[in-house]
This record gives sequence, structure tokens and C-alpha cells, in this order.
Amino acid sequence: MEYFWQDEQRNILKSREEFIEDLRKIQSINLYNCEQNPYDMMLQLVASMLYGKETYLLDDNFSASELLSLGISATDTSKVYYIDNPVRIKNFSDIVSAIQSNNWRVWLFTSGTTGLPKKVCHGYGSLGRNVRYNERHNKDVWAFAYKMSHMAGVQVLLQALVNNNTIVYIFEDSPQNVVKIIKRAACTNISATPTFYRNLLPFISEDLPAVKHITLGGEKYDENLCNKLHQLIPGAKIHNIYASTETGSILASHGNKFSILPEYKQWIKISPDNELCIHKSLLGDFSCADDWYNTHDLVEIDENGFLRFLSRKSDLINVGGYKVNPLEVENLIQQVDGVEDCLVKGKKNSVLGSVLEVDVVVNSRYDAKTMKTNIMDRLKKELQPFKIPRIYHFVETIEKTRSGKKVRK
Amino acid sequence: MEERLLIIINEIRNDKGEEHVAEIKPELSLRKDLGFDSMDLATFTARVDEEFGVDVFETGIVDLLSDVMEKLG
Repeated sequence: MEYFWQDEQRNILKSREEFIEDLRKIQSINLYNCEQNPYDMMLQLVASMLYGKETYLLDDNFSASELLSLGISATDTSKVYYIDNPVRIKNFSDIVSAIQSNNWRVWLFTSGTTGLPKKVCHGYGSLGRNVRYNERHNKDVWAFAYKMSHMAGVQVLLQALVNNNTIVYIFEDSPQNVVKIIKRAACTNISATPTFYRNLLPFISEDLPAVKHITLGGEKYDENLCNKLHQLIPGAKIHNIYASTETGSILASHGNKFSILPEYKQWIKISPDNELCIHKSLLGDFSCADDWYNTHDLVEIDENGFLRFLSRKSDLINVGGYKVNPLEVENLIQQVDGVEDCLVKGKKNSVLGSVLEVDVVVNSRYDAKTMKTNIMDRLKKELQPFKIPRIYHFVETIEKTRSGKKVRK
Repeated sequence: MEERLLIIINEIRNDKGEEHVAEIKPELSLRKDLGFDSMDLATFTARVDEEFGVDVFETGIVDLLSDVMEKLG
């Protein structure tokens, strides 16, 4: 049987008919959608779209103080809209039409890695901008690997919904299970962060022939990772997406070079400091003082007009007056045999302002002392001395933010 | 304490491809005798801080091992 929604972790399997029936049963819509079960959150979100109601998507594990920092009190979260006149849903096409009507608004919160949380309002105009809707996509099966309450999750949901695709929810499952589920469910499309794929790599022991499209987003492009994914899943095309909660998805590439679509060219510019700026006409709705939103992402444009991302400005570490891009260092460390993941950080230091320290996850077959020597030998060959981390911690895992990015502070 | 300091010093020297020192002598200068540059000193401070919970350079520049040992009490 072909399902619309599959969640093996929670043992939830829903056909399209069952999904429509569940929608019909809804009697109220949450103003603040913080459902613990991803299916329930999705159901509430789709209902808010059907009825054209504004809704806020919140992580289910926010504490009361975190909610307060977002301006939401504990009592707010129980606010609902009651449905007096239920919409008649005949079939799946009615749902698709409602979603594409742009009659709904969803509020999302940035993950706050670069400052205070910010709320951004999106509709189909900004989030549906890059949704591909045609016959070529009607057999797609999506491995859903984001939180439903985050922009990327909503984006994948829209893509899958409007094409009447199957959604296989794999977020927060163990990497071993995820690989098995992707194979068993014959997923054709996966969209996730580089970190998510990095965790999967050791468990991809056989080909996944059904997978045709692998999309990476939310973190810096990782060339090594893309190469490894290409080796392990040779039948899949690999895409990189540049997106943020404020912008939705703006740019896509097949490598590190992003091309700007002609229709967006006048709305994207580079500041004198080489930071990417995006015009408000391409953004979700949020409090932005200027017509242009500065992403603080450092970019360069090559002679052929391709855009390349260098770093997020806020990620640079000042070591004795020298600016270090930790992503550059991580990229090299990742290439050392036995390294599974790493995180380079600045540690406050009374001699140089900051020193570089690195948390490294190594394969259990390697010992820490040898790995430190191997890593330093490699870095000495490739980097100026100030870019080489001197403090090493061999750890089990790298801490991630709620959106799956590495915690850099 | 001396033993742990010796390990830290030799780790730093090892990373630079230099020979290990055999023992801790209070009169040794971090810069002149052990050849530490600013990056090595920063590393030394950070590692000592991790081991002993004391930032030996917090209140100014330290050079002799005796100064370090005094700060570590």
C-alpha cells in the first residue's frame, strides 16, 4: 500500500484517505503550533493553510523561559481558532489548491545562532517560490529530515504536498535506522543538513538506488562530504541550497558555485564588505530596518558571475589579530583518515585573545594520540601556523543546535 | 604538579617536532630555554588552565617556570 505519511519511529502510517479524514475531523486550529508528534504538527499546519489562519510554528521542546524570550507566555500556547464552518475537502487536489492560494501565513523563528531569536512571517509567495510542481515529481518519495517547525521542514512539506508525494519522516531517528528506512521506503529525495549526512556516511554500506536527489542546506557547503555522498550514492544528483529563515530558499547549486536566476538578479547585491544582501521583496515579513537585508555571509563572484560562499562573518575567530575561518580548518581535518566529525572553536585566551581548539570524533579503530599527530601533520602542510588548532578534545559527539547545526559558541 | 606541567610542556614541544625536556627546573625560561613563541605560550596557558583551573597569564606576562608554579600554588 502506498502511504502519504510514514513514521516508523512512532509507528504511524497514513494513507491519503486517512490524512484527509484526519483533516476533516479537526475542530480547532492552534495559533501556536507546538505539537510533539510531527504528524499532528503537520496536520495542524495544513489545516491552518486550508482555513487561511495565521499560525506560529514552535519547537515542541521549548522551555517556558525560551518561549518568553520569543514573547510567548505559557497561556498563549493554548490559544485556538474554532472552526465554525468546516471546509468541504473532496480530495487531495482541494488541499493542494488551498496551499497554493497564498491565503495563509506562518510565523517561524530563527534558530538564534547569530543573535536574538527573530520571528519571520512567510506565505506561499515566499516559501513556495522554489517549489517544483509538475508531472516529473508526482512519484517522488521524500525522506523528511528536518524539524517540522523550521523553515526547511515547511519547504520540504510544501514540495511534497503539492506534488501529492509520500513523506517518510526520519528526523531524529538513529543513523543506522535512517539508512534502512530510506532503502526500505525507496526514498527518491532527501533534503537535510550536511551534519545529518555526515552522521549517515558510516552506515551507508550498500547502494541506495532509489535515491535520485540529495539536497544539502543550512550549513556551509562541504566539498568532501559531497564527494563521499557521490561515491556512496552514485545515482543521485547533489544540490546545495542557500536558504535561511528570513529569506526562504534563494539560491541553488550543483557544487560550491551558486548561480543567480535572472529574475532575482536585481534583488541580490554584494555590499562593499563582500556580504550578501537581499532585497525585501524576496524576503519573508520581519522587522528589517532597510530595503536590503544583510545576511552577513561573505561571498565572492567569479569572472563567470557565479557566487561562492566564503564564510559567515560571525564565524571568524580572531587569533592574535589573525582572522581564522573555522570552516576552512574543519574542511581539512575532515579529510584525515579516521576523522568522522569535528568542530573548530575559539577559546578565550589571555595571550592571544583566542586560541583554536577542536573537538574531534574519531573512528573507534584509531587512537587519539596518533590522530592528533596525523591531523597536525596534515594541517601543517596546508595552513598558516595561526590556523592550526593547538587544543584537542576527542569526543563522542559534536553538540548540535535545535536545527541540527554545530554549536559554535 | 611538576609531572603534569612536564607533560604539557613536552606535548607542545612534541607538536613542534622538538625534543622532550627531561625535568622541570624552576629557573627555566618559557621563551628562552623552552623556545616557546606566542602561539606556544597561548597553548601552554590554555592547557594549564584546563588542567589546573588557573589562567597563569591572566594578570600579566609570566616567563619563568617558578612564576608559573607559584601561581598554581
